Amino acid sequence: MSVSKSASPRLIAHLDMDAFFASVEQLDRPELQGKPVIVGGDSDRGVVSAASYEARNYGVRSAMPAVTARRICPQGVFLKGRMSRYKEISENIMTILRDYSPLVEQLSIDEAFLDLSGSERLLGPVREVCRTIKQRILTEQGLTASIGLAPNKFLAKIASDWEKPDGFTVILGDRVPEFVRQLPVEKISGVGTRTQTVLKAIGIKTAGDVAKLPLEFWERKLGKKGIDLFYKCLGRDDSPVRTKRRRKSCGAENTFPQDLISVATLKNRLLMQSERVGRDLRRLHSKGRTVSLKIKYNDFQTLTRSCTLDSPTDTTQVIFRTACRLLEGIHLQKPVRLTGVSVSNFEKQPVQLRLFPDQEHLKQEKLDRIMDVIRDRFGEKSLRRGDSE
Amino acid sequence: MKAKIIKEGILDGISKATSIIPAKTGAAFLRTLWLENRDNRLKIMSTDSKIEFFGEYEAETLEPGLLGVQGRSFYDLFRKLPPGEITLSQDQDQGVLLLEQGRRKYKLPTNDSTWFQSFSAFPEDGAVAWSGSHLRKIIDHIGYCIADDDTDTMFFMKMAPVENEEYVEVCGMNWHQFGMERFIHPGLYELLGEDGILIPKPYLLELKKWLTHEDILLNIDGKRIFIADKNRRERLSFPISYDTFPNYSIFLSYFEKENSRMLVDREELIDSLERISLFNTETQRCSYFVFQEQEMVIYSEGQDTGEGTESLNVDYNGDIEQIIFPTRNVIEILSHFHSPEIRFEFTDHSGPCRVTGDKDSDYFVILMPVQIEEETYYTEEEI
Repeated sequence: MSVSKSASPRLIAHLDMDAFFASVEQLDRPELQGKPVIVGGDSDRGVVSAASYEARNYGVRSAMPAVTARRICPQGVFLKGRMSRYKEISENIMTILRDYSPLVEQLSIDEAFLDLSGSERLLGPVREVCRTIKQRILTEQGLTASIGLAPNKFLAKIASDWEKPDGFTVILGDRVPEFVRQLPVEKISGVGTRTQTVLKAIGIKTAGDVAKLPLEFWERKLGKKGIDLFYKCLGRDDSPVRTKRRRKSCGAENTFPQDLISVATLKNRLLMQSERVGRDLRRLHSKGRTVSLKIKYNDFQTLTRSCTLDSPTDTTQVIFRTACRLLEGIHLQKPVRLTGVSVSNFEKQPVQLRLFPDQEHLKQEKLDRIMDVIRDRFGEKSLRRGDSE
Repeated sequence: MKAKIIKEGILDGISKATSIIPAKTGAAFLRTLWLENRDNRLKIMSTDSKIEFFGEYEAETLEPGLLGVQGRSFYDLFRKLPPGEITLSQDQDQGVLLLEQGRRKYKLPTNDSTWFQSFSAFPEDGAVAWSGSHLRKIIDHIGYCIADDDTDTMFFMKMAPVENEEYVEVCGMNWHQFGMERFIHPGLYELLGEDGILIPKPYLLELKKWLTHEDILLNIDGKRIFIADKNRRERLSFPISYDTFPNYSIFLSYFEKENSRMLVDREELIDSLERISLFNTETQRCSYFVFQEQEMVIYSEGQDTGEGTESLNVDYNGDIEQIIFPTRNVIEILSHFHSPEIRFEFTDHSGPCRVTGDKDSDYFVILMPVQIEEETYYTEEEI
C-alpha cells in the first residue's frame, strides 16, 4: 500500500545582527555603552557604516553622509571602524549557526540564512532552536541578534527586521496569508523607488493589492520582475539556501579629502583603485568581465558607467584603462567627491585560447604577479606605479 | 550609345558587377556600372576603387558608346524584367539611359562618361591556367579560418611556394584557428615569387562567387592580381597586399613531436556534436571531450538547457584526459573534410590541436581549445 505524503513546509531562518559594527564597539569599549556610536563617519567626507540604536534615536542611519550625522547628532561618538575585529566576530557567529544546520548562506558580514527544514526530530522544535541561537550569540559573543522564521527566504528576511533589536518574529502556517496581505509593497525586496512609483500610480499599496491582479497583468506591466513580485505577494519564494554564494563584484572606492575636478588627478585615483581591485581579484583567483566606474559629485549625485570586456580580467592595467575610457565618456559637470572602480560578472566563462599569446597582456600579467609578490613581502606601500602619486 | 541585348545573356554579368559596388558610398563613380557598347559586344565594368570587374557579352550594336548608370537600381530593375530582348539607348540631351522591353519603358539617370577611368588590362605574358573548382575548394577550405577584422594582420589568405619543395601552400587564420592546404602547380609556384601573395578576405569571397568548374587564368603584374575565365570574357583584378602575415611556423612546430592522438568517425562525431550543441548556451558554447581509454565522452551543460552526454568509440593514444572546444567550430571544421575518419592531434589541454583526414591528405586545420575559468565564491570585502 502506498501512502501519499505531502512535502513538509520549509523552515528558513534569517539572522541579522543588531547594529553590528556599533554593537561590537560598545562591547569592546564598555564606556561607549548607552552612547550614540557612529561607525564610518570619523571624517566629514565619509558616510556612516553603522549606527547604534542610541544614535538612531537622533535619526542617524547607515549610508548617511557623516557631515549630516554630525549635524543631527553632535554628541555622537564617531569611529573609523575595525574590519578585522568585525570579521573575527562574524566568523564566530557563523560557526554557531553551522552547529544547527549545514545549510547556512552568509549574505554579508552580519546576516545569514539557515535552512532548518526537517531538523525538528534531531534538534527539537524550530522556535526553540532559534531562541537557543540568539541566546548563544548573546552569551558567547555578547551581542544581540534578530531572527525571522518563515517558510521561505523572502519572508524570513522581512520577519527578522520586524521587531528589531533583539527580535524574534515567526511567520508560519496560517499567519502567512494574513501577514503578506497587509505587507506594504516597499518592504518587498526588489521593489525600488522606480517600481514604487509605478505601483503608486495604479493605487497599489500592499502585497494584497498586488495579488488581486492576475499574473499576466504584472508580467505585462513589469516583465520578469512583475512575475517575481506577484509570487512574493502570494508569500511564495522557492529560492534555496545556498551554502556558497558567488561573488557579485569586487570594488574599491574612495571619498577624497577635497573634491577633485582635474581629469588627470581623477585618473590617478582610478589607477590606485584599479590596483586594489586587481590585487583582490588575483588573491581570490577570480576574473570578471564587467568593469564599472562610479562617480559621486559634491552634491551627492551619483553616476555609474559599465563596460563588458570580451574576456574576463584580473589585470590592473586592463581594469584601469577601461575605467579611464568610462571616465572619458562622462562630461564632468561638477567637482567629484568620490570615485569607485569595480569588476563584476564572474559567471563561469569559457575563454577561447589563442594561437599567438597577446604579448602585451602577458607582460602586464607578469608585472602584476611580481608587484603582488613584492607587496606581500614588504607591504602595500613598498611599491607603486610610476604614474601614480 | 544604343544596343540590343538578351536579358539572360548578361544578367549574370550585371549581378557580378553590381555585387562589388560598395553598399554605402558617397562617390558617384563607385556607385556606377559602366556599359560600353562596340562591335556587337557589351562591356560591363565596375569597381570599389580596389577590386575591378570586367565582363564582355554579346549584343547588337546599333550605335557605339559608353555610359555610366547607377549600378544597384539598374540591376534591381534588370533582374525583375521578363526574359527576352531589351534595348538600351542613351538620351544625351536628357542625360538618361532608356531601357525598353516591348511595352515597358524606363529612364535611368546616367553619369558623365568623362568620369570613366580605364580598367586594368589582363597581362597575357606569364599567365597560368588553373582549375576554377580547385581554387574554389581552397577558398572554401581556408576562407572560414580567416579573421574578419580588416585591421588584423590575419585578414588575408596567404598563397606562397614552399622553399625547397615543389608545393604551393595556401593558408588562412584568425586568433584561434588555422587552415592550410598544399598542392602541386609548377606554373603557379613560379608565378607567386619567393614571398607569395596575400589576398584580403572580402576579395576571396567575391572571387568564390565568380568561380565555376571551368579553368581560369591567373597572373600577377607586381601591383595587381588578375583572374580571368579561359575565354577572357570576364575578369577580376585586385591590388596585391603588402602586409606582414604572422609567422605560423611557431605553432606548426608543436606538431613535430609525438602528441596525443585520436581517430574518430567523422559523421558520428558531427551528429553527436549537433545534438550536444543543443545544450550550449549564449555564454557557454563549448563541449567537453573526455578521454577514457578507447572511448570519448562528449558533454555540455547549461543552467537553463540541462546536460547532454554522449559516448563515442575512438582510437585514442595519449595522456590528455580532457579538452574543451567551441562546439560549432569543431562541427564547421569537420564539415570541410571528406575522410570517413578524422585524426585529432592534441599538444596539450590548453595547446593547439591539429585535425587531419587520410582522404584529405593535402589539408589540415589547427584549432585552439577553450579554457573554463573556475567559479569563484563570496568573500567579504573591506570597507
